[in-house]
This record gives sequence, C-alpha cells and structure tokens, in this order.
Amino acid sequence: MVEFGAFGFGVVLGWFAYFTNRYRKDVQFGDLTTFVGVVGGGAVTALFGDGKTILFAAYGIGLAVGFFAYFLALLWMVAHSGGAFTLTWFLDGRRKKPADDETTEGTAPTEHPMAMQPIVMPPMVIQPVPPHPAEPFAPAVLEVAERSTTDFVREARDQAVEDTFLALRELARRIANTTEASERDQLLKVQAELTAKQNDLLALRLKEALDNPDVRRALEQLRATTEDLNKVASEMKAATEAFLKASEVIARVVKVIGILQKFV
Amino acid sequence: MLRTTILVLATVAGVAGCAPYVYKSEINAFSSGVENLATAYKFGLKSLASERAAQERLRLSSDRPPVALSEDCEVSLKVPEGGPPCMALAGRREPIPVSPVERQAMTAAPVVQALRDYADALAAVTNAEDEAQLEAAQAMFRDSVESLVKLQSDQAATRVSPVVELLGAGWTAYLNQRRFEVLKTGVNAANAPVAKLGKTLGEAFATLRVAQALQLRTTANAMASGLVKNVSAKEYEERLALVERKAADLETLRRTDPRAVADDMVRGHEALRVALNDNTRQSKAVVEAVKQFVERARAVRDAFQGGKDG
Repeated sequence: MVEFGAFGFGVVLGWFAYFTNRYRKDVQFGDLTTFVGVVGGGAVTALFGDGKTILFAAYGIGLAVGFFAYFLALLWMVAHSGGAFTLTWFLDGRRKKPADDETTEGTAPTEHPMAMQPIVMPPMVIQPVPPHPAEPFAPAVLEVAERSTTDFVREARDQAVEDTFLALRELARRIANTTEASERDQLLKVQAELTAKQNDLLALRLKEALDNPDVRRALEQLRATTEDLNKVASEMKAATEAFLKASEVIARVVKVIGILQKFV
Repeated sequence: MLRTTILVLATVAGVAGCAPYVYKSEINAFSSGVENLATAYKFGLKSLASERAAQERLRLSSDRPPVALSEDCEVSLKVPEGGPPCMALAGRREPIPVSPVERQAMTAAPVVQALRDYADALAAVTNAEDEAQLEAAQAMFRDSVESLVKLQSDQAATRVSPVVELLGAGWTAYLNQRRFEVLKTGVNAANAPVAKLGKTLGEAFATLRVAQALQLRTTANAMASGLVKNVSAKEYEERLALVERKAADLETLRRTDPRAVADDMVRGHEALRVALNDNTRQSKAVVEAVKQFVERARAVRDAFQGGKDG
C-alpha cells in the first residue's frame, strides 16, 4: 500500500515537473541540478522514513510515469485537436493561426512543448545613467561612481571584442575544415556579419579613446609647447644668420679697407 | 704672449665644457621614431582603403556586371575645381562603404600630427644644421676680424685671434645654454600631454591593427572563394600566392604590438625629461629608452606597410 502511495506521489510530481518545464522561459544547465534537488533531494527522501529504498524506487517510477503521462496526454490532445495543432508544435512550438471565432487571448504561452529551445540572448541595452542628485553625494563620490560606470561599460565592450574574436576564430576553424560548399558559404556569411559587428565595436572603442576632454586638453597643451619650441628654434636660427651676415659685412669692409689702403 | 694665448684657450675650453649637453642624437632619434609611428598610422589607414578597393575589384570580377564611365568623365571648356573624379562604374551597385572603424581611425590623425610636430620642433631646437652654420659664421667672423686688425699690425692680429676665438666659443655656449633651457622647459611642459596622447595613440593603433587584420582577412577570403576546381591551374596558383601573401601580412600584423611601441615613446620622452632636469650628462637611460623605441617603431611601420600594397 505504501509503495502505491509513493508511486502516486511521484506521478503527481512528474506531471507537475512537465507542466512547469512547459511554461518556463529560460533554460540553463543549472536547472537540471535544481530539478534533481527538488524531486530527489532530502526533502522528498525524508518523507519515506525507514523503507527509503523501496519507496524511492516506487516514487521514481511514479515520477517517470507522471512526467511522460503528461507528454502522452499532450500527444493525444494534439492528435484530436482537429488539425488546430500538429506534431510540428512539439518540434519548435509552431502552430496555426486561430480561426475567426477563436482567440489566443488569456492563454499561457508554452515555451518548451517537448525539447529545449535555442536560447536567444536579449540585445545588450546600456541604460542611460540617471542624473546624480546634487545632494547628499560629494563630487568625489560622484566622480568615483561615474568612473566605475564608465569602467564597467568599457570592460563589457572590451569583453565583447574579445568574445567576438573568439567566435571569429571558431568560425575560421570551421570554414577551414568544411568541404561542403553550401555550408562554407553559410559560414562565410556569418563571418562577414560578425566582422561587421566587430568593426562597430572597434569604432566605439576608438571613439571613446579619442572623443575625450583630457585628450583635447593634452592636444592643446602639446600644440602650444610645439609652437613655443618652433618660435625659439626660428629665433635661434635668425640669430645665427644675423651673426653670419655680420661676419660677411666685416669681411667685405676689411676687403674695401685693404683696397683703399693700397691707393692711399 | 704665449701665456695669454694659453689662458685664452683654457678659457675657451672651459666655456665650451660648461655648455650643457643638449641630447642632440637622442632627440633626433626620438623624432625619427615618432615619424615612423606617424608613417605606420598613415600606412594603416591607406591599407584599410586599399583593401576595400581590392574587395570591390574582386566582387566585380566575380559578378562581372556591365561597366560604363561616370558622368564626370565628360569634359567641357571650363576646368572643374574639385568634385568627384572620372571613374569606371560597374553596374548600378553601391560601392563597399567606408567602415565605421575606418572613419573613426581617420579622426586620430590630429593626435598623430601633433606628436609628430612636437618631435620635429624638439629636433629643430637641437638641430645639427644650425650648429654647422654657426661654426661657419664664427670662422668667417674670426678671419674677418683678424684681417681687419692685420691692416694695423701683424702682432696685434696674433693677439686678437684668441680673443675672437673666445667670443665665438662664448656665443656657441650661450646658444647651447639657451637650447638646453628651452628643451628643458618644453620637454617638462609636454611630458604629461605626451603621456596622455601616447596612450591614446596606442589605443588607436591597437584598434587600427585589428581593423586592418579584419580587412586583410576579408580580402583573403574573397580571393580564396575563387579557388575552385574549374579555374585554370595557372589562375589557381596566382590566386593561391595572393592568399598566401595576405596570410603573411596578417601574421606580421598579428605579431606586432603597436600599443607597446606607443608606451615606449612615452617612456623615451620621460627618460629625456629626467636627463634634462638632472643635467649630469648621464644619458645611458635616455639612449637605451630611445633606442628601443626607435627599433620597435620601425618594426611597427614595416608591419603596417605590409598590407598597403593590397
């Protein structure tokens, strides 16, 4: 009798496990350990007391039965849906548009009808930093906060550049290894897209390095110093030239005096 | 008489010896290193454009659209000022656009130019050409004065000669002292901006390096995609050689670290600043720092030049 109880308990949990999985959005490997922890962890086995081994076996069978019963029920319902649903729904969730007198309003979207879906990463959105209140933060605190935000964005961007580089490396490896022309073309297309993204990231990186008040200030300072140096350099050059000219004049005067002395 | 001459010559030697060392060869080397970096950056930008052009050409030779001359090939009596050039247009397709990173890389040109102008100005202050000119002027001055005095008496001319020598040495020493002071002030004032701009230049170079590598790889891919069985053996070999050349350029670029060279430039400048402030003529640190910078800057220039020919 107790075995049937454990079996029934397992059936209910198994059914519920499928149900939960079906309406869950994010799939990660960590979920597996969570699942094992819930259905096979200490909380469940503690219920079985001394006859742990037999009862857990019954419970496990029940769990599997409940889990797959849910799936079989889905199969039966799809088969008897009069064409509203087909087996493709189990593959990627594809379904027909509702008829004119039907609506999908209020239905819970099923994320995982049977298998794991490819994970689509949401685009990275950098939220604008809200203006800091004038009080109670001191300017130094604000500066540190601002700097850490900038550093965070910079690190994220540089990480993205590095990740893209690794992805491009992997693509290059696959392109080199493929012998299938169509697969190669497909990979080259992805490589071109990723290259464009990498170019965009690099442009952002460069823009940040150049479009910076500190850089502008440094440029102004360096230009001013250069101007001063050039000014002195040309003054010194002019002084040397003047010295040279003076020497030439003296040489000419000496020549003239020498000629005059011959006549006098 | 002999005593006077010895005394004057000793004073001349003393005056010349007191003149500060203006790190002429180190500054000129530093200047040539900066010039190499500037040239490398120019080559990098040129390479991006030439790779784009090469890709455009490969695309055309692959698709073979009809070709026509642009409207700007029509010539009137009036000579146009500027405007788009006469060119062969293939099909009605848009040309490959300038990538954002290429556009952005062009905006780094003022940083490169400012550093180059500064290095040139340093070299102009410590210029060897000026000194040669000065020596010539001094020689002429001495000869002229001696000739002038000789008109009165030969003995007086012998006496006045060392004095003129002393005057010339004094003038040189004064100019060198001035050079030194100007260099010291200038290098001190520029040290922080050079450090900041050096770091920025390093970032710009690092980005340009990756952008150039991406362009080279894209061109190589386009060339490699034409390596199919139905091309002739000769064409296959030619294309293969081009792809291999791109791979060699990429390898050189891959092994080059322009950011480290920009850091070397900053270190070389800092060593120069320390030496000018110290004025103990201990130039070993400057010599080594500048030497490393110059050698590595040359290597960067060569690496960036590699992809230029497309």
